[in-house]
Amino acid sequence: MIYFDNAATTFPKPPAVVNEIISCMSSYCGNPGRSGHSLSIKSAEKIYECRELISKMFGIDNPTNVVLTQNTTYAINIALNAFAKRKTHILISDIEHNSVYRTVASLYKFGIDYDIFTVDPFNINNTLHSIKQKMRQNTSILICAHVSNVCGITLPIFEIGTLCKKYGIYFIVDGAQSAGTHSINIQNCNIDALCCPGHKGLYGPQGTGFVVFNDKYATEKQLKKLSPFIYGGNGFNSADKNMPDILPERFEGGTLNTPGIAGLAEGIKFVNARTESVIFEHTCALYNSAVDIVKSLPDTVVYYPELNESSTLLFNINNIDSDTVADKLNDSGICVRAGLHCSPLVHQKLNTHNGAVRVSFSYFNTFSELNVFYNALKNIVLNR
Amino acid sequence: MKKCIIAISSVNHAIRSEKFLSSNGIKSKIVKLQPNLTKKGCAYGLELNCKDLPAAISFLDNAGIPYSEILR
Repeated sequence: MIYFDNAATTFPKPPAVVNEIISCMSSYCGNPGRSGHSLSIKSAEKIYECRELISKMFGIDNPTNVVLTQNTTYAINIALNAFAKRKTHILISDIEHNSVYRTVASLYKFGIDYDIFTVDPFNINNTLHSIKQKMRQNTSILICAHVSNVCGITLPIFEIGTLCKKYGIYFIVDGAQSAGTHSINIQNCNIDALCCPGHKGLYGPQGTGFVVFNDKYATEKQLKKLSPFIYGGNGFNSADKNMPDILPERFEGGTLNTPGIAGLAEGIKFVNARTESVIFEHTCALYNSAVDIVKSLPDTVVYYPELNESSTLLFNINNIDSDTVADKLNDSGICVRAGLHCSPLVHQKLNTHNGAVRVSFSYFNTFSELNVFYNALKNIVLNR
Repeated sequence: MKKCIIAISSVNHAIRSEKFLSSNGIKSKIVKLQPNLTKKGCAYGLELNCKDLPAAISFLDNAGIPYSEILR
C-alpha cells in the first residue's frame, strides 16, 4: 500500500518507535508515579524523558509544564477549560478543526460566546485586521490552528501571539499539523498553551498527545486559577480530595499511556535527528509534484495550489464525489482521505461542495509513489 | 552516613530535582514515602546524605523547584 493519509496519522512509524514500545511492554512497564519499585520509577523516568524532549522542542525550560494526553483533542479540551471563564468571549479562525470548533461551541453553557475571524492565507495584515474587528471587551481567549489539516493554510502565530499579548488575551495554539515540521517557540510566540498530537508529525503511536504550558505558569497561585478538566488519582497527595496545584499533575488524572509515551520519545528523537526543516522540505517537494500531477489532468480543481509550502494537497475531480475518488484510489493501493476532514469551516471557506480529496505526506513517502498516484488518478479521470 | 529526605509530592518533580542536584554535584536517590510521613499522603522523596541537605535545599529554592517537607 501507498500511504498518503499522514495528516490523519503518520504511517509507517520509525522502527525505533516500535522497538521502544515493545521493550517497554515487555521489560519495564510499571505504573509511573504510583510506587517506589524499580519498574514504576523506570516508567516515570521514561515519561520524564519524553517531557524533556517536548519542552526542548517547543522552547520552554521546565519539562513539568508538559501535560501528557491521549491526543490533540484532549489537549485542546484541557487547555480551553483551564483558561475559560464564565461570560467571556473566545475567538477562533475560519479554518478550525472540530477539535477546536466543537469544544468552543460547547462552552455556551457557561455563558461563553465565540466569534470566527477570517484568515487571509496571502496577507497577514488582513488576518490581524479581522481579529481586531472581532475582538470584544470581554475576549479572553484566542485559539487557532497553526496549520490547516485540510490544505496549506498557515496562520501567522508569531504576529497573532504578539497581538494577544498586547490585548491581554490567552493564546492557545493547535499544533496538530505543524508539530514536527515547523519550528514553534512558545516563549517567542507568546503562546499560553500549545496542543499537539504525538502520532502525526512526531511519529509516535496513536493515543499520545500533549499540552505544553508556557513557563510563566509556575506558581501554585497561578495554577489555582486554571481549572482541571480530568479529575482522579495520579499518585500525588492522595489524602487530598482536590487536584494538585502543580504541573503536570493538575491536569493528569489516571494512569498515563506509558508504552505510547515511550514510543513518542523515540519519535521525537527521530525528528530531531533529521530536523523539522529537512522533513518539511521533503514533504513540500512531494506536495509540489503532486500539485503538478493533479493540475496536469483535465477537469480537476486544486485548492490553494499557490500555497507551495505545504504537506497537504486538497483537490476534486469534477463530477465525481470525493469518497468515490478515495475508494478508487484505495482499489489501486493508495490511501487518501475524502470528505470534510472534521473541518467544516474550511470547506465552507473553500466552497468544496461536500468535501474534497486530501493527500498528505510524511518523511517516508517517495517520488516513485507519486508515479503510481499519477497513473491511478489518470485512470479515474479518463474512465469517469 | 546519616540520610535525610526531601519530600516531593510529584514523581515528575522528584525526577527533575534528582537530575538537577546531580548536575550540581549532589547525589540523591528517588524513594517512595509512606503516606503517614507527609501531611497529604502519597509522595516521593529524595534521599541524600544529610551533610548535603543545606546545599540541596539552596539549589532547589534558587531554581524554584517545589518540595513539601524535610524529613531528618
